[in-house]
Amino acid sequence: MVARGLALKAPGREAEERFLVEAAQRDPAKFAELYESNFERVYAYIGWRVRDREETEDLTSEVFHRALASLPRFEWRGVPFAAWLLKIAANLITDRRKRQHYANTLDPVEEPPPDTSFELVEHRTQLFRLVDRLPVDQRRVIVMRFAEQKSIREIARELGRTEGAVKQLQFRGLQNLRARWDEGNG
Amino acid sequence: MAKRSLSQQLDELVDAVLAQPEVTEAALPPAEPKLAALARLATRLRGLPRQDFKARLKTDLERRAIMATKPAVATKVRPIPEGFRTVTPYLCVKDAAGAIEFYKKAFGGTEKLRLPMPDGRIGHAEMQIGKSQIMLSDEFPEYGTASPPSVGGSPVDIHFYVEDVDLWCARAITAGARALVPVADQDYGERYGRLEDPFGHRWGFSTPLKEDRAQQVREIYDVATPYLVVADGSKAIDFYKEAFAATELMRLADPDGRIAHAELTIGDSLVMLSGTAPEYGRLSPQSLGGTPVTIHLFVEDVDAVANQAVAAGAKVLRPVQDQFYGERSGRLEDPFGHVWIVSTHIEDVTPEEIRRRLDSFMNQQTGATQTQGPTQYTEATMEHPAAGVTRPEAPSKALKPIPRGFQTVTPYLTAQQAPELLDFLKGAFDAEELLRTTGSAGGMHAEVRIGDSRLMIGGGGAWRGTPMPTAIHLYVTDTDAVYRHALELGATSIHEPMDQNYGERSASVRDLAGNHWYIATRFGPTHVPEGLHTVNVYLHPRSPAQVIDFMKQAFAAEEVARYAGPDGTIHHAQVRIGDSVIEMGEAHGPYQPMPTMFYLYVDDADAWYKRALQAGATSVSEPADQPYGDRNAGVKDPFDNVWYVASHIKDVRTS
Repeated sequence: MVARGLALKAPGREAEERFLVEAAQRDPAKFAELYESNFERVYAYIGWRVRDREETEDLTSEVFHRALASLPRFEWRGVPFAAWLLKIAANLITDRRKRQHYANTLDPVEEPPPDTSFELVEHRTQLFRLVDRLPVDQRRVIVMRFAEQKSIREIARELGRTEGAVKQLQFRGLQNLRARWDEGNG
Repeated sequence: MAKRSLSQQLDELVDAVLAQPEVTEAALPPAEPKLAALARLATRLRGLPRQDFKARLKTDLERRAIMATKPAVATKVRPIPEGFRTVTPYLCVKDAAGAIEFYKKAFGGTEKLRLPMPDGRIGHAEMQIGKSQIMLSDEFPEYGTASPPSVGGSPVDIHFYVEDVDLWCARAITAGARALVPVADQDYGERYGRLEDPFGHRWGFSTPLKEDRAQQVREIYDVATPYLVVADGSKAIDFYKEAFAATELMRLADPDGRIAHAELTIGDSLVMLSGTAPEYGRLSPQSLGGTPVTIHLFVEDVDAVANQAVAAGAKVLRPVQDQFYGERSGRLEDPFGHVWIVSTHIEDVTPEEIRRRLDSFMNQQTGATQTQGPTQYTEATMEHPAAGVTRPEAPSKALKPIPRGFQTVTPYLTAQQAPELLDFLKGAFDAEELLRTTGSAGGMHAEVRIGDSRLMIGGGGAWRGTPMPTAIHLYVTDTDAVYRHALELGATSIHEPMDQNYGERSASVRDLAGNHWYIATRFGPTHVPEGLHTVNVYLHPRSPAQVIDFMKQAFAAEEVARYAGPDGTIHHAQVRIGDSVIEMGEAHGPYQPMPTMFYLYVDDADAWYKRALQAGATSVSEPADQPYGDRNAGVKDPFDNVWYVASHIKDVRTS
């Protein structure tokens, strides 16, 4: 289920990805490349499912540690590596939900989301990557504002700039993201 | 009424988005279409990962991956290996083989491990004496280790509580040790003897005379305890508490506050210390100018302990890194001159395997035609814990007399069109002109600042030297914009901006004087990678391994990274000199050798000049005081790079 949603998304990269996976199976030090190419997706998926930032970080970390440990057992069957990672993530989330459910039987166990939601996760993945490519001062403001959830005043104080300048950077950063987004999807 | 600016209106929308955990796009407050689109984007950005989280997790995974590559590692590697305590004394001796034989006879020691180097010296050995492990090695002046005769004494005694002090001392004296303090009852309630062995190390033995003291120390009978002499006892105690989480057990102070004797525990081990007492030959490392005994500490988390020690004021002699002998360790000097190796055991390696790795490592070091061998160890230093001591006579690595604003390494670009080059740098890279004058050869000499770095430019006018175009890895916030701008100002493109798989977006141009500029923006929280500066020299030598060896020998360079292909080609390497990094990749295609001129700020131009000549450089100019306030000398290395080593001796610059 998870696999289908993604298989549609990334058909062309299969050979390259297979090469990366096999390299990492021979030499775990190569896992870094798989991490780099999948971090945002895994984080976006978990973040969208669990919402809480601490828990998202916790689960993301666990997904990659498990993936590294189980990599020798990963078999290439034409399913994107990302799908395997998201499967691990989905299982971990379900496990946690069940545990919490037993702890508090009033909560219903949340059903895994339907396939159509993966497009949304892909959108966020692309967006997070675009943030990394923003000019440095815009990126800094966007990260402080959205990832660290700081107020304009706090950011202005930390960066030694006026609140007006920070708002302007936020505005330009979002505009820039939108333009790059349209470029990549238009 | 003033109209609110767009950025203000947008921020109000962002506030609304951030204020609630569940704002959906549909529930956004109304706004004009352009702003509404941006606000929708903002809702999706709420889950943006924190920048340091991604990097931290990557480091964790890399650590885990490295450990996974090591064969036969059971899941439980004890951070402190079997048989070791937190503290192990590490002795540097002039004749380690002789010392091992002597310690067998004198103290009933047994040899556990011996790693001979190709030249016959012992790189590292371990013995058991009593219930303790003792490490020892021969003297390696090239790694800064010195034995007691070279240091002129020792600021560390190796002390043992024993059942029968007379027996221990008599046996050692029969074997050839000399009594410094003959065995006798002391008024503080111990029977005590102190010896010097034929190699200059000092040993103390005590048997408590009172039952309560005997009870206290019975557990550490036959365990080696370092006894440190420090210039300022109470400051040292404070430092060891902060750096190594030491616990103070007791202190005896003179009426004037001088520490006569103090006892601390670090981990499971006892450490004793006292102030100096020249009358008993107890001198501090500072007055001796070094120490032949390093204190080796096994800890659970070497990175955390090393950071803590550095925060408390320790100096890094060798940064923490994974070592081929199964430890992750670093070497530190404390503010009182004692040297510590902080280490975590990360892999169980058999002595045979250590020897095999050592051999393959030595082959790589000597540049022998090798390609196989465990590549993951190429970044390890050869410096086994062996490296005990800093040498007072060697040029210290703390390159101090550097004028404000300069880094250790400054590239010096020379060109016939120097003034035009200067204009180009100002236009294309926002270089700030700090100085423009006429150089000794009649050309222009200029200095500019780009970001956190400086560059020197020379040539033009009456100057008739050979231009030395240089390749620079330049970090900027927006590669695409800088690239476009450089082309507008007359540079030619080598390659267009593209995302590189090593985490940068980069583009290359050649300027009017033939310099290469590898313009790059790092993806991530900062546009310059950690450890690098705005400006970094990039070399394309034909044999990078030899260049690296030369830089190590001549300038105490430290190899930070090396990425080699299966055929041994070095695609990319980084070496650190002082606070600067020089990068290189083996010559290929458009990237052919570009001999480069370096201006290197050091603590002692004369000493480094001599050292560079010894390493195989030829003299360009002898050390001399220059009217601009530097004392400098020039050498050319075997690869045609020119190095000026300089110490700032007088402030005459206006900048």
